[in-house]
Amino acid sequence: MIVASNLTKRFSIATGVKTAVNSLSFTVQPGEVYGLLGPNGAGKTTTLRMVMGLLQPDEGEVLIDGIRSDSASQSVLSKLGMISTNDGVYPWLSVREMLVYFADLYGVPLRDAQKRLVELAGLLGIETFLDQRCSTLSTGQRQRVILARGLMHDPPVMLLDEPTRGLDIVGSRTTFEYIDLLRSQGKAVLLSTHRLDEAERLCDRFGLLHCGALRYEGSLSQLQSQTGREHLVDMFLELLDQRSARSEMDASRKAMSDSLEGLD
Amino acid sequence: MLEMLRSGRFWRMCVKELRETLRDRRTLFTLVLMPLLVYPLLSMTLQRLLLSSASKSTSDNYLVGVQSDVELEQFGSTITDAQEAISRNAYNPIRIEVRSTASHVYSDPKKTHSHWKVAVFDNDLNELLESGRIDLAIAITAPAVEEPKSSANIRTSRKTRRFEVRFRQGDAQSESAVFEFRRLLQTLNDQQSRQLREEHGMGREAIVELEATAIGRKSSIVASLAAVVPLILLLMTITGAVYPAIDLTAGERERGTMEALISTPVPRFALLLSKYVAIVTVSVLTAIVNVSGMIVTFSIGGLGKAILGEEGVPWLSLLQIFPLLIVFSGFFSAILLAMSCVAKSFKEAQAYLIPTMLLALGPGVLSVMPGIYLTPNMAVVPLFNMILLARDVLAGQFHWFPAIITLISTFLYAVGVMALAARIFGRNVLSPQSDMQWKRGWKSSTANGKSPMLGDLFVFLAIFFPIYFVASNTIGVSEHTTLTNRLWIKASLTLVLFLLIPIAFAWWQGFDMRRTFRPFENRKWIFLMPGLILLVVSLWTVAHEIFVISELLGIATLRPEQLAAANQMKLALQELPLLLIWLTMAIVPAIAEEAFFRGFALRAFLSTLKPGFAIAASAILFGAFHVLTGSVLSIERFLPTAALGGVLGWLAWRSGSLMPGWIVHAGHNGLLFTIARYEEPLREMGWGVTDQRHLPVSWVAAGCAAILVGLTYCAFSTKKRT
Repeated sequence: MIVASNLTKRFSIATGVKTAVNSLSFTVQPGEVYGLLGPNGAGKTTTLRMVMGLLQPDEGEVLIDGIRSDSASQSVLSKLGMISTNDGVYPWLSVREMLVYFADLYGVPLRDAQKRLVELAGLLGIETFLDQRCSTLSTGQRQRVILARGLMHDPPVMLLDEPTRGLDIVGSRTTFEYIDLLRSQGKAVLLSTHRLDEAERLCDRFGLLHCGALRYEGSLSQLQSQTGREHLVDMFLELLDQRSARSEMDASRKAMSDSLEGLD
Repeated sequence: MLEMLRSGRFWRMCVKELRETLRDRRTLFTLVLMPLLVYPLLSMTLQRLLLSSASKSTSDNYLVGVQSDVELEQFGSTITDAQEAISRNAYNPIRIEVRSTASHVYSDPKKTHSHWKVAVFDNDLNELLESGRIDLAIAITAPAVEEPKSSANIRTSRKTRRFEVRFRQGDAQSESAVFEFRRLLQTLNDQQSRQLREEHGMGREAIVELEATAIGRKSSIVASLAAVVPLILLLMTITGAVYPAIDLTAGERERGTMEALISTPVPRFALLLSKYVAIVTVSVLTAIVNVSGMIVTFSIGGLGKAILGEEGVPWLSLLQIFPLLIVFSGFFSAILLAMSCVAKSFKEAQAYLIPTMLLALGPGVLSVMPGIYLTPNMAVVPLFNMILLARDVLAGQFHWFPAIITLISTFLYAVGVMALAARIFGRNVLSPQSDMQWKRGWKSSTANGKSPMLGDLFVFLAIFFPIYFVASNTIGVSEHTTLTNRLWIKASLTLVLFLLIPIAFAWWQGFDMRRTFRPFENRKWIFLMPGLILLVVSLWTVAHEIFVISELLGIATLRPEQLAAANQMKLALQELPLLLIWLTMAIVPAIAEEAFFRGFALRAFLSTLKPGFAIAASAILFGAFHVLTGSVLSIERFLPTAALGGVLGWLAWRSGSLMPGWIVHAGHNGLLFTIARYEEPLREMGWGVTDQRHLPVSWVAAGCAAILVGLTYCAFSTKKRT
């Protein structure tokens, strides 16, 4: 369903050019939950935006159901549902108004949208505040509303960017259960998170990103055999150790060249 | 987009944006509270200004002229009643002296505030008034007040006494006199009304009425105040658009809803347009509230007549000014929206918009200075043009030509700015720096080797229209320039405007020149030659007939002197070499205009519209530019030129090359001017074709048949391509 090949994205910043994502390739099949894991700044959100077609990759491509996400983004976008923790809500609209509005934007007829709203409200436990203004919602309630918003048009591909951030235990469990349901419905789910415990429980396969590049990929057992570590947390820490080791190496190299220059 | 309009989704999007904006208390504050605060304050300030300016230059002795002893008697009795009413209320006592051949005197020597002298004159009162010998000229047109016989028939028995007062506009003494007299009558009316209520339980009823007519020109102070009104109105309209513009773009970005919005399968331009509609609606609502607030405040405060003239609220002018406010709202909302699109936060947007509003004040204030008029060239200067037009409309003395140019240019600027905004909208969610958005806004998103899109054409037109208008208006030709030089100047201007400027724009935007202008994209145009020749020799017949029919239908706008000038030029053409005529009036215009209208513009229309609509749109644009030739609006040229533009557009689309258009356009123009040049010999041969009369039916029929054959031939010759 999602085929990303050789994705590369560079940004111009004040100090030069930063490569946010470097030659990243992965696939997510229908009925599969793929975990895109990595520390902050690893390139997870940039990857998701390229999958959405919101950002044009400098190199490589993403195919959603065989269609390039950047070339025909309008038709691709209707197949995708995106949920991000950075998302907000419209403070002056009620939850119901906002969800129906988004369903309309995705071309869902009003009657179907109302039906879907009732369904999702029961599933995500938002029925009690459906007619409340969004500005009055708590963080957890808002997160659940955002989750419902991404699912209103029942997309075959779901992109979840830190879906449980800010949720309490009950909210997180509801989200996990829903992701399980998405998998059972045959949807392709791309999950970006740094909550490794939840990733371990939810994902069928993992891609460990570091500095924009994919370091390890595979199922948990495959990763265990690749890294020799039991848990994702250990694998993750090893990645960070490698980075700190590299920065130490860079620092010693620089010190050496400085001293050589001093000798000259 | 059309699908969204049909399904009603676009309007639901607009309603959502509007609902969200109107629920916000900050919008309501700007919408309602600001006008409620601003206009009373303004009214008070202006009133003080008017009173202080009046008190500096006037005395309290007023000389009134009437034309009969009866009028003198009635004036005297009214003034006496007013005096009594004032004495009873113990405020503003007056001294009245009525003097005529009979020389009656009414006075209150104890507390003199104003002093009225009334005299009967045999001379024309208007002359006396204009020469400054009297301050007011009064005529009383209704019978004197009859006392009611009983309370039952009080309404019918009471008759209104009507004072027709003429005063010198621009003269402080005369205006002060009419102001004082109005106050006196108001006091009298109030007192009589009170008396009626107490004695008979009746409501308010006017006993005396005043109709004041101004004579002469308005004074500069009052004129300036009246000029300030549209400026305030327009500025308040802008104020209404500021908050929604920020909230629906930068605010949405800050709240984190923008990414979810642009992730939906709705074109970004549709999202932007729905926000724009909401902003314009709020801005227009603000305008309505402002107009109402201004009228009510000025009427209650008594400033209405001082500022808007003796006729009071000019309802017709207000009706006329309302569409102006909508156009202005559209223009400024587009600017505010584009600037807010760049900002990543509310604060950043405010930092952009507040200086913009202050900058807008500059031309706004300059435009209300005396001696600045809405000339045709001024009509393309944004903001200036709208304020000057609003001022003229309120004064009831606007001219159609600059008014139309003002509306067209403002509309084009709004569309151009919206096209720029569409390049930026939503991108700052994904880009790390907002200063990059400014650069992105100026550069086409389709650049780097592609041809222009519709939005790029709108940006171009917004830049191009004022240049075209001012150039064709200014780089005209003095009467002393020879016809040869005039033709060269005109040809050079056409070349610069329609060829060099579009090329420069395309280069700046990074378009592929070959794909944009398509000069020789398809070399098989050579096979079209027989069809093209048929079109060249026949198109003029139909164009001529459409022109004549337009005139017959009464859509001709050329004045007799302009037609005479055209005829004179036609005669002068007969002295010029044919080669010069072909070069300057056929070949150069064909090369330049085809490059723009059938190259750049048609390419841009085709990027969004179906071929038929794209050809029609480029033809309308071609016709519209031929209507506006310098300071002349020749509407009768629209239909024939647009029809020709349609044929040329179709040829360009079918052939994929500009060459057929160049040949037909140059051939058509050249043939027309050749006929004009050889008018006399042709007339001798019985071919009087340059008169503004119908051609023989056989000619028109032959022309139509030749066009059909020519087009069919071209259609078959390009069949494979399509």
